[in-house]
Amino acid sequence: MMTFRQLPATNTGDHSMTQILSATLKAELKNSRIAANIARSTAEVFAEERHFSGNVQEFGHTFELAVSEAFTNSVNYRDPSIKDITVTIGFEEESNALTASVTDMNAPFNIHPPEPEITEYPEGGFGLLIIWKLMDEVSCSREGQRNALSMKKFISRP
Amino acid sequence: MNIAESTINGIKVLSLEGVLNAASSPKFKAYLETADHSGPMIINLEQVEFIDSSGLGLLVRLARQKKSANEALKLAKMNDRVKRVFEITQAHSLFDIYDDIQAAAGN
Repeated sequence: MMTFRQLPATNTGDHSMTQILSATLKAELKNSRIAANIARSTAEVFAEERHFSGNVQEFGHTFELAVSEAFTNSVNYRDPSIKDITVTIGFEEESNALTASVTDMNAPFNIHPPEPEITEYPEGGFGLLIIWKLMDEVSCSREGQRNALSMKKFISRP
Repeated sequence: MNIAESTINGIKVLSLEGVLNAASSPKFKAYLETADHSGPMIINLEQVEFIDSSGLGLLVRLARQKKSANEALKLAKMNDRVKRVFEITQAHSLFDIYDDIQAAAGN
Protein backbone atom coordinates (compact mmCIF):
# COMPACT_ATOMS: atom_id res chain seq x y z
CA MET A 1 0.00 0.00 0.00
CA MET A 2 1.49 3.30 -1.00
CA THR A 3 1.34 6.08 1.50
CA PHE A 4 2.18 9.71 0.97
CA ARG A 5 3.12 12.25 3.55
CA GLN A 6 1.80 14.86 1.21
CA LEU A 7 0.54 14.96 -2.33
CA PRO A 8 -0.32 18.00 -4.40
CA ALA A 9 -4.03 18.62 -4.72
CA THR A 10 -5.57 16.60 -7.52
CA ASN A 11 -8.48 18.81 -8.43
CA THR A 12 -6.77 21.99 -9.56
CA GLY A 13 -7.66 21.44 -13.20
CA ASP A 14 -3.99 21.37 -14.07
CA HIS A 15 -3.71 17.63 -13.97
CA SER A 16 -5.51 14.41 -13.23
CA MET A 17 -4.12 11.45 -11.39
CA THR A 18 -4.68 8.47 -13.62
CA GLN A 19 -3.18 5.58 -11.74
CA ILE A 20 -1.83 4.88 -8.30
CA LEU A 21 -0.49 1.41 -7.54
CA SER A 22 1.69 0.10 -4.74
CA ALA A 23 5.03 1.08 -6.24
CA THR A 24 3.98 2.87 -9.37
CA LEU A 25 2.51 6.27 -9.96
CA LYS A 26 1.45 7.86 -13.20
CA ALA A 27 0.02 11.34 -13.59
CA GLU A 28 -1.08 13.30 -16.60
CA LEU A 29 -0.37 17.01 -16.38
CA LYS A 30 -1.07 19.95 -18.61
CA ASN A 31 1.98 20.97 -20.60
CA SER A 32 2.28 24.27 -18.77
CA ARG A 33 4.81 26.07 -16.64
CA ILE A 34 2.46 26.11 -13.65
CA ALA A 35 2.20 22.31 -13.72
CA ALA A 36 5.98 22.12 -13.28
CA ASN A 37 5.40 22.65 -9.57
CA ILE A 38 3.09 19.64 -9.40
CA ALA A 39 5.58 17.48 -11.30
CA ARG A 40 8.53 18.38 -9.09
CA SER A 41 6.73 18.07 -5.77
CA THR A 42 5.19 14.74 -6.75
CA ALA A 43 8.65 13.46 -7.69
CA GLU A 44 10.14 14.61 -4.39
CA VAL A 45 7.47 12.94 -2.27
CA PHE A 46 7.49 9.69 -4.24
CA ALA A 47 11.29 9.42 -4.04
CA GLU A 48 11.51 10.26 -0.35
CA GLU A 49 8.88 7.65 0.45
CA ARG A 50 10.92 5.00 -1.34
CA HIS A 51 14.41 5.70 -0.10
CA PHE A 52 15.57 3.48 2.70
CA SER A 53 19.10 4.54 3.55
CA GLY A 54 21.40 7.49 3.23
CA ASN A 55 20.23 11.05 2.86
CA VAL A 56 16.49 10.92 2.22
CA GLN A 57 16.17 14.63 1.55
CA GLU A 58 18.98 14.56 -0.99
CA PHE A 59 17.42 11.57 -2.75
CA GLY A 60 14.09 13.39 -2.89
CA HIS A 61 15.78 16.52 -4.22
CA THR A 62 17.51 14.45 -6.90
CA PHE A 63 14.20 13.30 -8.34
CA GLU A 64 12.53 16.65 -7.75
CA LEU A 65 15.25 18.38 -9.75
CA ALA A 66 15.52 15.79 -12.52
CA VAL A 67 11.78 15.64 -13.10
CA SER A 68 11.55 19.41 -12.96
CA GLU A 69 14.17 19.68 -15.69
CA ALA A 70 12.56 17.04 -17.88
CA PHE A 71 9.10 18.54 -17.46
CA THR A 72 10.40 22.05 -18.20
CA ASN A 73 12.01 20.75 -21.38
CA SER A 74 8.63 19.37 -22.41
CA VAL A 75 7.01 22.75 -21.78
CA ASN A 76 9.73 24.74 -23.52
CA TYR A 77 9.66 22.63 -26.68
CA ARG A 78 5.93 21.98 -26.97
CA ASP A 79 4.09 22.62 -30.19
CA PRO A 80 2.10 25.81 -29.48
CA SER A 81 -0.36 24.98 -32.24
CA ILE A 82 -1.69 22.00 -30.28
CA LYS A 83 -4.10 22.90 -27.49
CA ASP A 84 -4.72 20.89 -24.34
CA ILE A 85 -1.50 18.95 -24.80
CA THR A 86 -0.42 16.88 -21.84
CA VAL A 87 2.75 15.48 -20.34
CA THR A 88 2.71 12.20 -18.47
CA ILE A 89 5.03 11.72 -15.53
CA GLY A 90 5.58 8.25 -14.15
CA PHE A 91 7.46 6.66 -11.28
CA GLU A 92 8.31 3.03 -10.77
CA GLU A 93 10.05 1.35 -7.91
CA GLU A 94 12.16 -1.72 -8.65
CA SER A 95 14.09 -3.83 -6.20
CA ASN A 96 17.25 -1.81 -6.62
CA ALA A 97 16.23 1.39 -8.37
CA LEU A 98 13.68 4.12 -8.76
CA THR A 99 12.80 5.27 -12.25
CA ALA A 100 11.04 8.46 -13.27
CA SER A 101 9.72 8.99 -16.76
CA VAL A 102 8.42 12.04 -18.58
CA THR A 103 6.47 11.45 -21.78
CA ASP A 104 5.40 14.20 -24.14
CA MET A 105 4.19 14.71 -27.69
CA ASN A 106 7.01 16.97 -28.79
CA ALA A 107 9.42 16.49 -31.66
CA PRO A 108 12.32 14.09 -31.06
CA PHE A 109 15.31 15.60 -29.32
CA ASN A 110 18.95 14.77 -28.66
CA ILE A 111 19.56 13.62 -25.10
CA HIS A 112 23.32 14.09 -25.60
CA PRO A 113 23.60 17.80 -26.36
CA PRO A 114 26.99 19.46 -25.94
CA GLU A 115 27.58 20.73 -22.44
CA PRO A 116 27.23 24.49 -22.12
CA GLU A 117 30.54 26.33 -22.02
CA ILE A 118 30.31 27.84 -18.58
CA THR A 119 32.91 30.55 -19.18
CA GLU A 120 30.61 32.03 -21.81
CA TYR A 121 27.87 32.64 -19.25
CA PRO A 122 25.23 30.48 -20.98
CA GLU A 123 21.62 31.08 -19.99
CA GLY A 124 20.44 27.70 -21.24
CA GLY A 125 21.54 24.17 -21.83
CA PHE A 126 21.69 23.20 -18.17
CA GLY A 127 18.56 21.04 -18.04
CA LEU A 128 19.81 17.82 -19.57
CA LEU A 129 23.24 18.38 -18.04
CA ILE A 130 21.63 18.37 -14.60
CA ILE A 131 19.66 15.22 -15.39
CA TRP A 132 22.79 13.39 -16.55
CA LYS A 133 24.74 14.53 -13.49
CA LEU A 134 22.03 13.39 -11.07
CA MET A 135 20.89 10.11 -12.56
CA ASP A 136 22.61 6.74 -13.01
CA GLU A 137 20.88 5.89 -16.30
CA VAL A 138 19.12 8.17 -18.77
CA SER A 139 17.46 7.08 -21.99
CA CYS A 140 14.84 8.32 -24.39
CA SER A 141 12.63 6.26 -26.66
CA ARG A 142 10.22 7.27 -29.37
CA GLU A 143 6.82 5.68 -28.93
CA GLY A 144 4.66 6.66 -31.89
CA GLN A 145 4.41 10.43 -31.70
CA ARG A 146 5.68 10.57 -28.13
CA ASN A 147 9.06 10.97 -26.47
CA ALA A 148 9.55 8.89 -23.34
CA LEU A 149 12.47 10.11 -21.27
CA SER A 150 13.47 7.60 -18.60
CA MET A 151 15.69 8.49 -15.62
CA LYS A 152 16.89 5.80 -13.22
CA LYS A 153 18.64 6.06 -9.87
CA PHE A 154 19.84 3.00 -8.06
CA ILE A 155 18.84 2.61 -4.43
CA SER A 156 21.01 1.40 -1.60
CA ARG A 157 19.05 -1.08 0.51
CA PRO A 158 20.00 -1.66 4.13
CA MET B 1 8.29 33.43 -5.48
CA ASN B 2 8.72 36.64 -3.52
CA ILE B 3 11.36 39.30 -4.10
CA ALA B 4 12.33 41.82 -1.44
CA GLU B 5 14.72 44.72 -1.85
CA SER B 6 16.90 46.26 0.80
CA THR B 7 20.20 48.11 0.98
CA ILE B 8 23.32 47.50 3.01
CA ASN B 9 26.32 49.79 2.82
CA GLY B 10 24.78 51.34 -0.29
CA ILE B 11 24.57 47.97 -2.04
CA LYS B 12 21.22 46.70 -3.25
CA VAL B 13 20.23 43.36 -1.74
CA LEU B 14 17.61 41.23 -3.47
CA SER B 15 16.22 38.60 -1.16
CA LEU B 16 14.48 35.81 -3.04
CA GLU B 17 12.01 33.50 -1.36
CA GLY B 18 10.33 30.32 -2.55
CA VAL B 19 10.72 28.39 -5.77
CA LEU B 20 12.74 29.64 -8.72
CA ASN B 21 11.78 27.41 -11.64
CA ALA B 22 9.89 27.51 -14.93
CA ALA B 23 6.69 28.52 -13.18
CA SER B 24 8.18 31.47 -11.32
CA SER B 25 11.09 32.55 -13.51
CA PRO B 26 8.90 34.78 -15.75
CA LYS B 27 8.10 36.90 -12.70
CA PHE B 28 11.75 37.21 -11.75
CA LYS B 29 12.73 37.91 -15.35
CA ALA B 30 10.13 40.67 -15.61
CA TYR B 31 11.33 42.16 -12.35
CA LEU B 32 14.93 42.24 -13.56
CA GLU B 33 13.94 43.81 -16.88
CA THR B 34 11.58 46.49 -15.61
CA ALA B 35 13.41 47.96 -12.64
CA ASP B 36 16.72 49.83 -12.52
CA HIS B 37 19.27 47.38 -11.19
CA SER B 38 22.43 49.27 -11.99
CA GLY B 39 25.23 49.21 -9.47
CA PRO B 40 26.59 46.46 -7.27
CA MET B 41 24.13 43.87 -6.08
CA ILE B 42 23.86 41.06 -3.56
CA ILE B 43 21.33 38.28 -4.00
CA ASN B 44 20.26 36.61 -0.79
CA LEU B 45 19.27 33.01 -1.55
CA GLU B 46 18.64 31.86 2.01
CA GLN B 47 14.88 31.45 1.54
CA VAL B 48 15.03 29.83 -1.90
CA GLU B 49 13.69 26.34 -1.31
CA PHE B 50 14.16 25.12 -4.88
CA ILE B 51 15.97 26.28 -8.00
CA ASP B 52 16.34 24.58 -11.35
CA SER B 53 17.93 25.50 -14.68
CA SER B 54 15.23 28.09 -15.40
CA GLY B 55 16.17 30.08 -12.33
CA LEU B 56 19.84 29.39 -12.75
CA GLY B 57 19.75 30.73 -16.30
CA LEU B 58 18.35 34.04 -15.12
CA LEU B 59 21.05 34.42 -12.50
CA VAL B 60 23.72 33.60 -15.09
CA ARG B 61 22.22 36.21 -17.42
CA LEU B 62 22.33 38.77 -14.61
CA ALA B 63 25.95 37.81 -13.89
CA ARG B 64 26.84 38.38 -17.53
CA GLN B 65 25.15 41.78 -17.52
CA LYS B 66 26.93 42.81 -14.34
CA LYS B 67 30.25 41.62 -15.71
CA SER B 68 29.72 43.64 -18.89
CA ALA B 69 28.90 46.71 -16.81
CA ASN B 70 31.91 46.05 -14.57
CA GLU B 71 29.57 45.88 -11.56
CA ALA B 72 29.75 43.41 -8.71
CA LEU B 73 27.18 40.66 -8.29
CA LYS B 74 27.47 38.54 -5.18
CA LEU B 75 25.40 35.58 -4.01
CA ALA B 76 24.88 34.98 -0.33
CA LYS B 77 23.47 32.39 2.04
CA MET B 78 22.97 29.50 -0.36
CA ASN B 79 21.37 26.49 1.26
CA ASP B 80 22.55 22.99 0.35
CA ARG B 81 19.85 22.40 -2.26
CA VAL B 82 20.67 25.60 -4.12
CA LYS B 83 24.41 25.07 -3.77
CA ARG B 84 24.08 21.61 -5.29
CA VAL B 85 22.61 23.02 -8.52
CA PHE B 86 25.38 25.60 -8.85
CA GLU B 87 28.05 23.00 -8.25
CA ILE B 88 26.86 20.31 -10.64
CA THR B 89 26.54 22.87 -13.43
CA GLN B 90 29.83 24.60 -12.53
CA ALA B 91 27.88 27.86 -12.42
CA HIS B 92 29.37 28.59 -9.00
CA SER B 93 32.56 29.54 -10.86
CA LEU B 94 30.77 32.58 -12.32
CA PHE B 95 29.84 34.15 -9.00
CA ASP B 96 31.36 35.49 -5.83
CA ILE B 97 29.58 33.45 -3.18
CA TYR B 98 29.40 34.32 0.51
CA ASP B 99 28.03 32.63 3.57
CA ASP B 100 26.38 35.78 4.89
CA ILE B 101 25.20 39.19 3.77
CA GLN B 102 27.63 41.17 5.89
CA ALA B 103 30.59 39.41 4.32
CA ALA B 104 29.17 39.98 0.85
CA ALA B 105 28.76 43.66 1.66
CA GLY B 106 32.37 43.86 2.63
CA ASN B 107 31.95 44.38 6.36
